[in-house]
Amino acid sequence: MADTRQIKKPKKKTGQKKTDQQEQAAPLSKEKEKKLKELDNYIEGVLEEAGEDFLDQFKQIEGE
Amino acid sequence: MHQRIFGTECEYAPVCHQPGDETRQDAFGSNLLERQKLIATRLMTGVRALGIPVAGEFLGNGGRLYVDRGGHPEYATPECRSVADLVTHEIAGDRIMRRLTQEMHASDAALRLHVYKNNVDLYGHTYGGHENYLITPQGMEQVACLIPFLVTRQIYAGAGKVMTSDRDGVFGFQISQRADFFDCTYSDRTSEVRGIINIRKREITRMDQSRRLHLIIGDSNMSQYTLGLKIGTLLLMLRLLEAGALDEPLELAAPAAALKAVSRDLHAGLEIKRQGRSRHLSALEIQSICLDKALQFYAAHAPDAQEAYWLEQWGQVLHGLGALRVRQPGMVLESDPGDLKRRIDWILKLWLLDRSRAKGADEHQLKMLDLKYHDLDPADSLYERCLALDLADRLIPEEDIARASCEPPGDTRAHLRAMVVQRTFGKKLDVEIENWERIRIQAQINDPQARHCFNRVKCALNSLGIQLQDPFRAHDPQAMEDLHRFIERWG
Repeated sequence: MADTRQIKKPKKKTGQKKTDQQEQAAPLSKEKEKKLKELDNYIEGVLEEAGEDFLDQFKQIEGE
Repeated sequence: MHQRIFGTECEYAPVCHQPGDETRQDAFGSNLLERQKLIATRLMTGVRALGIPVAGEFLGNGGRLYVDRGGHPEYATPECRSVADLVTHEIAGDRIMRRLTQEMHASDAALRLHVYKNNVDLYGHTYGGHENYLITPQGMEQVACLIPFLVTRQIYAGAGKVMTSDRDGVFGFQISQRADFFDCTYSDRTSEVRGIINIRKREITRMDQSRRLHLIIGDSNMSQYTLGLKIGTLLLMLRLLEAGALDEPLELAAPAAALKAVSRDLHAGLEIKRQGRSRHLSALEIQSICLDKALQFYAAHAPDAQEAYWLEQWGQVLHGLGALRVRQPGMVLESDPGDLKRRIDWILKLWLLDRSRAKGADEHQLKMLDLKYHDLDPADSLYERCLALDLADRLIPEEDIARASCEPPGDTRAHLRAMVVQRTFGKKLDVEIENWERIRIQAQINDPQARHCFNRVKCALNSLGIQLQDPFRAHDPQAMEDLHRFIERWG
């Protein structure tokens, strides 16, 4: 396969492997917390703005 | 075939949301098909205003933009030879569609037009995200060997979908948007009766050397990484197929039924019946066997950089899926130690829905969020917001995507096509791109005598034909020289 373009490497987890429980218990960084708060506010805004009949209007014709 | 041409086609879903404004609904007509066609056509007319060179349905990046069945605006990427180019150009198509929507809004600020990149509406209508690969005739003869891989690849390639809750009100979610719309293993149709392998024959040149594998089974992906993995793993499998390295097929007893079952099995642990075998395998096991075969093959055939990259990613993702925990019933994402939600569409979507359910979102709202994940408008798209907040991995730099709206891949015939579109754009020429292989350019002449059907000499002089029969041929100095002279004379 040819490759003419640079692909960004996905972020890899580093350090020791954590167990599932440790994963859940790990405290969030302030930055991550801020991002999640921003995300939740955004989702709330999306839901408020969409309105009751939003879904009903999403009707398409069968494609391929 | 080590060097391969491939591309994708994406059918978008435009919707004009009408908050209690019946008159606006009428502006596009009351017939749904006519309205969708009208919206799609109006979207297309904005291409020139964006400054993108265009000739008929073909763009200055070598891709194609048109209105497809069901009034869906569709973007076909230019022919690519690398996964990175393919991802870049498919996302460039999304950006073009986004800009066209913005352009339409600019001419009518009250319009609430949204364009979604998904595969199903709320009424059970589907539309596709198709893939095309050039493969050898020998590979095509053995294509059945790919079916177990295709049935199970949704465990990392699916876009995710909220299902209607069961009688007890338990939340339902499935991995794939398209899985429920496939009824058989093979079909030559792309609607009504769809097959896991589409066998509709397309005439392509050099039939003795290559065939077109047309797949309509995949979900349209928002995640750049998911899209890359979907294409990258299939390219690896095609290499194995053509080399005869899949000679012990994992034949499934009922592939279409398995496709639907796997889509509902968020652990990827459900056992799939195999033809004539007592030991059944899970989707994850089937994918792991495919990966093992690939690793064995590449131990003897040095992979190039890109093959090595996707081999590694495939392994990492399967490892992550093995450790993923989803609580059933209820579909709660309990544990994702591989952090796959940054990379895989359906896992990111499930995680977002989980957060909203924890805050009390009802089924109606969850379906809304499902749809909003696929909105191309960055202000309204859940996926784009995750990308902006660095909660999802980016594969391609934004500047590369922006450039790809007007720039073709440099190593396929798309480059040649794009050069013709770009150089003739705005000139007094009629450029007719009959298909992916032929271009005809005609001078626009006001003199009626020059168009006279008996004036054969002039007719021959004021038209130019360019052939693009070899998909690997990116440059044709003679054709460019002819074009240059033609433009100087008539343009």
